[in-house]
Amino acid sequence: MEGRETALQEQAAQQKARRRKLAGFGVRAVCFTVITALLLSYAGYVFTSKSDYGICSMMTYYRQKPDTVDVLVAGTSMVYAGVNTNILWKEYGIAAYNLCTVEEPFWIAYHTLEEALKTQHPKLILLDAKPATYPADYQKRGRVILNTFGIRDLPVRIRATLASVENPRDALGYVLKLPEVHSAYKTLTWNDFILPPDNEGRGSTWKGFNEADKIDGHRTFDLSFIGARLPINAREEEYVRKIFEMTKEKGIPLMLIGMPCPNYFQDYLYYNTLWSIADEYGIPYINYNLKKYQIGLDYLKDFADWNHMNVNGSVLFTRRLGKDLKEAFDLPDRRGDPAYDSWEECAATWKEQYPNFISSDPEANPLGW
Amino acid sequence: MSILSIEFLLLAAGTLIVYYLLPLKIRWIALLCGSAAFICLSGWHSAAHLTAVALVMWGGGLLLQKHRSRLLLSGLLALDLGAMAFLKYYPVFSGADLLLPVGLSYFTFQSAGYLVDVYRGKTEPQRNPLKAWLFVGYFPQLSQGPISTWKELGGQLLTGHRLEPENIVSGFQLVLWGLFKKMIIADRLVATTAAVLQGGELPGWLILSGTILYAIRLYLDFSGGMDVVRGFSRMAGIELPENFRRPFFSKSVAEYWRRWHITLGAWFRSYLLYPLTTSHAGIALGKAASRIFGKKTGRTVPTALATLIVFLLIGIWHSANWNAVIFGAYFGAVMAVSTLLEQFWKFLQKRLKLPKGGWMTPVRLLRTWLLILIAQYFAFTPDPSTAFSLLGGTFRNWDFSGFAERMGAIMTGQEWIITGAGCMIVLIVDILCERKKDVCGTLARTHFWIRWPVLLLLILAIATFGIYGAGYDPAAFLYTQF
Amino acid sequence: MDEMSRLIAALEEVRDDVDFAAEAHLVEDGILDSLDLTRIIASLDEAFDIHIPAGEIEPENFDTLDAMLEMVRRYRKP
Repeated sequence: MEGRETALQEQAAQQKARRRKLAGFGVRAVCFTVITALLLSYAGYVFTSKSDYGICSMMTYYRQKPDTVDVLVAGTSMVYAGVNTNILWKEYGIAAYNLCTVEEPFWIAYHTLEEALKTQHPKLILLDAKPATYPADYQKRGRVILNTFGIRDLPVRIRATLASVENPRDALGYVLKLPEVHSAYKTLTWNDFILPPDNEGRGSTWKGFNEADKIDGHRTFDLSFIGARLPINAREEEYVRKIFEMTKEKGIPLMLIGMPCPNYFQDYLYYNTLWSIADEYGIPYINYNLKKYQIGLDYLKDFADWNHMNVNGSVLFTRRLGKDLKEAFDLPDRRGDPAYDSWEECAATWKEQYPNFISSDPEANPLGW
Repeated sequence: MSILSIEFLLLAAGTLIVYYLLPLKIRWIALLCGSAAFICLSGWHSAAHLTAVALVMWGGGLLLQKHRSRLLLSGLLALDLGAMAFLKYYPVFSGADLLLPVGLSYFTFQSAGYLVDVYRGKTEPQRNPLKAWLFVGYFPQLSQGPISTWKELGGQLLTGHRLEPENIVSGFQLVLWGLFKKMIIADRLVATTAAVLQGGELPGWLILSGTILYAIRLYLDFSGGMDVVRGFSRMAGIELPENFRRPFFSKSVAEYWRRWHITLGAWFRSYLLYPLTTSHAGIALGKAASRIFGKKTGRTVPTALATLIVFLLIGIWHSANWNAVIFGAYFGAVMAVSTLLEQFWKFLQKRLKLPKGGWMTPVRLLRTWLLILIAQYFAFTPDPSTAFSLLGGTFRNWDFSGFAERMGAIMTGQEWIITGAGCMIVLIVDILCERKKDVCGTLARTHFWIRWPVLLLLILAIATFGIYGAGYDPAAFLYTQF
Repeated sequence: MDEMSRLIAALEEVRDDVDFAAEAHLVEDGILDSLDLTRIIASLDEAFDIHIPAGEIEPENFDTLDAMLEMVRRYRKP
C-alpha cells in the first residue's frame, strides 16, 4: 500500500515538474518569437528605401500633431514637387501636408487616405488628377508598391497591397517586406538605420514637399477648347470613385487638381473624362494647365522635366494655388498659433536653403518672409 | 512544393501544432493529414502514384507474411521499381513528357525495402493501410529523402511523442542551419557553375575552381535540405537517419560513399550488394577466384563485381544520360579496383612502413578529393563531350591575367566575401563535429541568453543574405527531380 | 576443434588484425566494413558449410563473437 502511494506521489511530482518545465519553455518560446518578429520588422524598415517612394512621407505624417493638418494633399510626385507647403504656410497661413508618392495610382491613394484620416481631420483634401492618365491595371513589380510600406495599420496595408498586385500570392512578399527589399543590404548607409527616417536632412518638421531641383525647358499647348475624352483605366476609375464616396461619407471636401505640366497635351483627354466623373459626385476640380489661370509659369525655366515643376515653378504655382484655396474654401489662418510651430520651423529652415537651389530664383521671386 | 517555400513552412508549422494538440495515441494522424495535404498540393498524379505504391506495399506485405514466396516478392518489386523506371526513363527514349510524381525515387525505394524486409522476416507487416501510407508518404522526406527502413522510421512515425523542449530547440536550430547552408551559400554558388558552362576558351584555373565549387555547392544544397527535413522531423520527436556526414573528410572513395547520400548507399548495400555477393552464384564466384588469386583476394572478386553493378545503377538512378552512366561506371571501377587491390595496398603499407595517420592523412584526403573531383565533371555538364572538353581544358591556359574581371563577372566582391565567410563558418562547424563535438546539442542545451543571440544572428543572416524574394529565382533543390 | 575456435579461425582468415573476442560493436563501430562482412560470409560458408542470406547482415548478428556463433548455430543443418 505504502509503496503504491509513494509511486503515485512520485508520479504527481514528476508531472508537476514537467508542467513547470513546459510552461517555462512556452514562455521562452513566446519571448523568442516576439524578439525575432521585432528584429525582422526593424530589418524590413532598414532595407526599405527611404527616398521619395513614399515611406518618409507617411512616416513623418504620423509624427504630426493630431488634428492639425488643414489641407491634405494626395497624389503623385507632381504634387509633392509642385505644392510648396512652405509658401502655403508663410503667405497664407494654410497648414498643408503632402502625403504623396511616386506614380501613386488611385488604389494606393485610397488606402493611404483611409489610413491618414484616422489621425487627421483636414478641412480639405486636394487630389492629383494625374493617375487618370495611367493605363496599367497593375504597376510593374517593385517601387510603387513600396509606397505602402509606411502604413502602420497592418490590415490597411494588407488591403493596399492586395489592391496593388495582380496575383494575391505576390502580396505576401510585400506584406512581409523582407522578401522585396532585403537585397538592399548591398547599398546600406548609416542613414538607413535611424528611426525616424531623416529623408536627406529634412527632419520631423517636414511637411512632404520634395523639391525637383533641375531646369529643363519645354513647350506647351493650350488645349482648353477641346472637349474630347478617352476612357480612363477601369481600376483607376473604380478607386477614384471610392475616394469620392469615402470623402463624401466622412463629410470632408475634396478637390481634384490638375497640376501644370508640359505633358498636358497628352494627358488632357484623360483629364476630361475624370472631370466628368467628378461632376457625377459634385466634386470640384481645377485644371491649372488652362491658360486662363495666368500663373506666370515659364515653361522654359520653371520645370525640372516633362512632369514636375522645379523650385521656382513651385513658388509661383503655390502662390496662385493658395489664393484660390483661400477664396474657395474656409481655411483658417494658423499663423501665430503655437500648436502649428512645426510649420513655422519647417518654413524657416527651408527659407535658408532657398537661395542654394539651382532652380530657385530669389531675385525674380523673393520669399519676402 | 519546395522545401524552401512559405507553403512548406506553413504546412510544417501547422502539422507540428496539430501534432502536439492531439492526444498521444493519435498524433500520427496529424502527420498523415499534413502528408496528405502536401501530396495533394503537389499534384493529382503524385497523389495517385504514391497511394498506388503504398497500397501495393501494404497489401504485398500482408501477402508475403502468409506466402513467403520469392516469386511474389519479385513480382511486387518488379511492379514498384518497374513503374519508377518507366516514368523516369521512358521519356528519355521516346521524347514524351511525363510528369514525375514528387519524390518518386525515394518513396519507391523506401517501399521496396519494406517489402524485402517483410520477406526476410525482419519486419512485421503493417495491418493498417493508413499507417502504411504514412510510411510511404511522410512529407518531409518526399522531396529528397532520406530513405529509411521501417525499423528506423515506422515506429517513430506511429508512436506519439511527448513535447520535449530540447527536441523543439534542437530541431529548430537544425532547420536554421540547413537554410543557412542552402540559401546563403549554395544558391550563391549557382553562378559559378553557369560561368564554367558558358563555353568558349576558358582558363584552366576557372574550370577547376568552378568544378570544385560545384562539389561544395552540391554538398551544401543537399545537406542543407537534409538539415531542414531532419530538423522539422526532430521537432516532432522523429529522428530521421543522417544522409551526410561531412563527406569531404573522407580518406578513401569507399569512405566517401559511406558519408555521402548515406541512406542511398545503405539501401543499395542491403538490397542489392549483399544479395548479389552472398548469393550462391556470388559465393561460387568467390571460390573460383580464390583458387586463382588466393583466398584473401579471391573473396573480394564478387564484391568488386557487385560494386561495379551497383554504382552503374546509382549513376543511372541520378539521370538517364551518358554522363550519369560514365559517373556510375567511373565510381564503380574505382571502388572495384580498390577492393581488388586491398591486399596489395596493405602489403605496400607494411613494406614501405607507411604510417596509418600522420602525413599519410593529408595525402589520403588529397587523393580522395582528386578522385571525387574527376567525377564532378560528369555531374554538372549536360553531356560527355562537354565534360571531357572541360576536363582537358583544366590543364590548359592557366593565364591569370583576367582573374579580377572573370571573378567580378560571376559575382561582385561583396558577394564573394559573403560566400567565403559562409563557407568558413560551415567548415569550422564541420571540423568541430568531425572531432565529435556535438555543436548542435551543446547549443540546444546551453543557457538561452547564449543561444538566442546565435539563433537571432542566424535568422538575420538568412533574412538578409539569403537568396529569396524579389528578383531571385531560388535555385531549385538539385536533388528533387530524381 | 570446437565451434568457437573454428569460428575465430574463419574470422581471422578475413581480418587478422582484429581481436574479435574483445570487441562488442564490430559493425556499429565500423571495425568491419561491408567487404569484410561479405568475405566473412564466404569464409563461414567454407568453414561450416552454411549459407547465410543477405538478410542476416545486420549489426545484431555481427557485432560480437557470441552473436556470430549464435547465427552460425541457427543455420547449421542438424
